[in-house]
Amino acid sequence: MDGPIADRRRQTAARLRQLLDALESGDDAAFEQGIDALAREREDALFARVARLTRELHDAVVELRVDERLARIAGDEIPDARHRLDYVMQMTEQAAHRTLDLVEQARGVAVGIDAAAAHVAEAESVIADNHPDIGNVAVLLQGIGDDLRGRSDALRGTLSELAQAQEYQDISGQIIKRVIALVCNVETALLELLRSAGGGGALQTAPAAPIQAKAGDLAGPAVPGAVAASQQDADELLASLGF
Amino acid sequence: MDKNMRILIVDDFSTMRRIVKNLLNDLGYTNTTEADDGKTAWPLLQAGGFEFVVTDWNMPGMTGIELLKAIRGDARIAKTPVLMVTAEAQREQIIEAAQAGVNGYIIKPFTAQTLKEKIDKIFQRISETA
Repeated sequence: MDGPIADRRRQTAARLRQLLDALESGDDAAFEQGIDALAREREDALFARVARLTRELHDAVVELRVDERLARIAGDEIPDARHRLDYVMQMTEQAAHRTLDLVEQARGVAVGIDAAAAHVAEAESVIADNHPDIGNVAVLLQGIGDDLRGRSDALRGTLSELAQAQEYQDISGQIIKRVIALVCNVETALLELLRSAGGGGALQTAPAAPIQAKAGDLAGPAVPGAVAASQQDADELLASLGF
Repeated sequence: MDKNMRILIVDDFSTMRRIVKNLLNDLGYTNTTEADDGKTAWPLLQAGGFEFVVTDWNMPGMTGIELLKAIRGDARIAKTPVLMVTAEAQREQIIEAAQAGVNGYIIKPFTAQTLKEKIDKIFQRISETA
């Protein structure tokens, strides 16, 4: 029988024969040395086996943890992230509508200022009269002044609400940051899983680069670093096609 | 160019429809109708009376490119000018839209000035060929 076990048996038999020779020939020093070597070999083999078991146990625990982590990510964290992103969508949409509402309000103020300007023209025409009714002009001017003050108050209010409507950026930014952290965790856990499944020794986080859209898929809004046409590129391309 | 022409704005994002509508209003075009994707736009177009279509590309249901092809494929409305306003900025997409017969292509985000230029150009061309 060949193999490591047969080798070890042959080695042990040879050592025992040497030991017996030493004992019978009265070579005490050689006998002691031989006994020590035999004991050490047994210890080394035992240690090797314990080390192997330890490594296997460690790998199993690591794998188990990765599995656990992935299960938690898939079961709880991804639905949670989806929920959060839905909320970001809602919040940004609401903020955009609120902003557009306020812009429309501000347009209304501009219309009012035009009306005030028309009143100024009216006052001017009264003054241009040969016998200006100064009392009437005073009334007109006071009306215009009151009107303009009211409108500037309204505009100030609208502008401060416009500024306030931008607070979604802070909240949505924080939520998106959390989701980015989750995506990082998923990436790490998947890489560890690949590594522990073997063959993935050289895996590492890839540099951030936009993923190429599959044929038939739309690429969506361009992000920095992606190959995409600018309006000028699009114009030139269309011009070259006869547009 | 008739400032009172009926314009159909097609986009799945209500905020974008509103922004386009406001910009068109600023340019003097006030006769606008909105649709939230190609599927909603199609029956409106079939009913007739629209002289200009501004559409997004990526929408659920029926995309802008499908809508464009459907318009060009229907003899009654085939000549309606279509302006694509989209975030899709790949060369292949611009070429696809051109081949499908788009009249103008604006990449989001865009400015009021770009919108004005493209609309002016579209109607200038139409009056030249008419």
